Amino acid sequence: MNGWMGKILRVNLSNGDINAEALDPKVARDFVGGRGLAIYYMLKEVDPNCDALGKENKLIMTTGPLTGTKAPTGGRYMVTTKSPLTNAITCSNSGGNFPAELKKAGFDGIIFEGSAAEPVYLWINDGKAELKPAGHLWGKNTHETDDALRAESDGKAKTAVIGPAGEKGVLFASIMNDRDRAAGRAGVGAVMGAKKLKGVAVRGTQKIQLASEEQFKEMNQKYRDRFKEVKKAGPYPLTTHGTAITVVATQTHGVFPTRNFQTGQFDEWESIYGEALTEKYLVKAKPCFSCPIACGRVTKIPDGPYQGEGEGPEYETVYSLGSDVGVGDLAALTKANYLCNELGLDTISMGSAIACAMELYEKGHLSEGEIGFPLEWGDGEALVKLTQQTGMREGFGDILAEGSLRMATHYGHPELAMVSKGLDLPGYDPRGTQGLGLNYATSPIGASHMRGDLPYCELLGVPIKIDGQTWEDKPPIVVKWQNVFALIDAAGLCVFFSIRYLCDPTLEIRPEGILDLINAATGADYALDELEEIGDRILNAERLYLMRAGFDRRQDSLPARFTDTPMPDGPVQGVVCHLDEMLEQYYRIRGWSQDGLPTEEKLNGLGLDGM
Amino acid sequence: MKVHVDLYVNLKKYAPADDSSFDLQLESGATVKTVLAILKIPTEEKAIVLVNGRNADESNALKEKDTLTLYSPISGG
Repeated sequence: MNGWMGKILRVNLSNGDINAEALDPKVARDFVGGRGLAIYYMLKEVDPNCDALGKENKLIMTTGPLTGTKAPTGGRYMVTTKSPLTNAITCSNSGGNFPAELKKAGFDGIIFEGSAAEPVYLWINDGKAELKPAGHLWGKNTHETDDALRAESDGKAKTAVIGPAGEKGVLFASIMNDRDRAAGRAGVGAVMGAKKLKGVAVRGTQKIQLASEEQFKEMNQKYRDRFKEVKKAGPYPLTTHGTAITVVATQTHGVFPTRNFQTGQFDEWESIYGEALTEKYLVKAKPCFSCPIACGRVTKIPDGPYQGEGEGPEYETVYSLGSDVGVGDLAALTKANYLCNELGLDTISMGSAIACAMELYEKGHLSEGEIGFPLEWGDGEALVKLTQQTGMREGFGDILAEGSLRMATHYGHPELAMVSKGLDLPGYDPRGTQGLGLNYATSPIGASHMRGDLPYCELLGVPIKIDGQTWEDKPPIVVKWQNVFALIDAAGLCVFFSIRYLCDPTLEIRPEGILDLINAATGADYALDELEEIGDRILNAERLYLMRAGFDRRQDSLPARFTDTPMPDGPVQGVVCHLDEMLEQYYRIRGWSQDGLPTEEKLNGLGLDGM
Repeated sequence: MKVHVDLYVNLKKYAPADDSSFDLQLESGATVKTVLAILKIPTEEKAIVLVNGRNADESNALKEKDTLTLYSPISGG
């Protein structure tokens, strides 16, 4: 095969069996890779009603046909499993260098099944794989584990590991690769911890065969030139300031979530946004594999109580550990970010859980005695302390480790958890980003901004600027964008480059550049319609999995704060999110019933019959 | 009439003085286009335009106490 390596590594952690299986060319063609390939295996092999932390669940790591190639941003992989946080499917995307290394080691993906009796790690060395004891690594943080795995295997190996949070079953634990890149969402790290799998170290030097080297080179240059053209006009904000520059757009639109989404503007925003980070703590910009943008931030807090160094924060973290908890101290939020990376925690759900606790405390539903100290908005010291406690499941952190919804329910106020399907919202208030509100509610994994990121057009002006507060026009855009994002996640690309430079510059975002690159790499001779249909197939396959797990329209919801309570002030004052009205139209366009279930006709039309 | 103007990211350089957040005195009937011309922001800058936090374009008429926000497209979040 070209583009694909043609092999999936299957690792049974219960009995230690390791087998390399052939990748079925038809499955590769129909599901492409990454997120697509993963849902194919989930539907075939994982009972949607299984215990997410039990042996029956599987942990699937998959790359795409462009992962590890020189395609711009061709360095991504997906981690897919049943989520212990939401009981829905989750698939979390990450970049760095680990995914490309896995591919060059000869594998399109790894399926972990069962669970080990004692801690282990997987060492993959150019096509050969073995499980090794990891008892001596249990308890180490992600950076220490990365150091140890590379020292024991190969200094040039790349790793994906869990920290104490994953070991201790924090329900929003992440898998960290290359130290500071996160497959963060919905507890993939907790599943890895339950399987007693501490990490994966991989070394790969194989060549990824391309169908046409010449055509690929030409297409690669064509799309990189598009980026260079834009960059020529002036400093590129994502390169200069990282994703935290996005605060400019969310704050001015009045959708920058503040104090658990009670309002959409944060008075201290200028002390925590991208330019402040550049000025105070930036050491250098850091790219993922084959990425011309380099939005990653290597940072250092040189002195003071939060002294430290690491990577971040990026935009979502500036919201979750900043405005959402009312913290305007960039050093404190950056330190909490470092702790999340080292302990292996999703920064979004960590901040969201603390914000929820702060509101429970503010409203008198949670006492100082239960927490161990007062918990006022804006308390950076408490933020850092609670992050540490959560990663170790110590003190009140043991309650936070269950996630915002379980905690808020425990204290009798589930309405104060800012979640959809149990997954915490990213940093955009859906009252002023109505399309994203619909996307949050219908995303297969729960509230995610990476399953059809409408803020691109609703806030950022990419590919064009539309009004975030209108809702009537949004359902058809959401459907199209969800499908194209699924394709990007299947191909092994990053949305940051793909949406702006590999899709046509209209709201249709037809993935013409992805087509050119995938065809040159694989020789599969896809048609544009066919690729778009693959996005639709992935979304419907994920929906089918949810349906079997008992999900329907009832879970396509948002907290009443967004649908019933008008925004109190700012540019979005008086507005609610019109979710119900949008859902009706959305289901019609998708070919689903008004209960949110795909019809047999729809599934058959996508070749999902028999799945 | 007086309007408030906020310039961000790559458009800060068009501020008439050091502060990229400033008031501007305009004739009545002025539009966003009037301000872009006063500030000498070329059309190829493709500015994102908000008036009082809502989507707007060059033809948008401005009124007393409006806040005009201008920034360059950002991709990512």
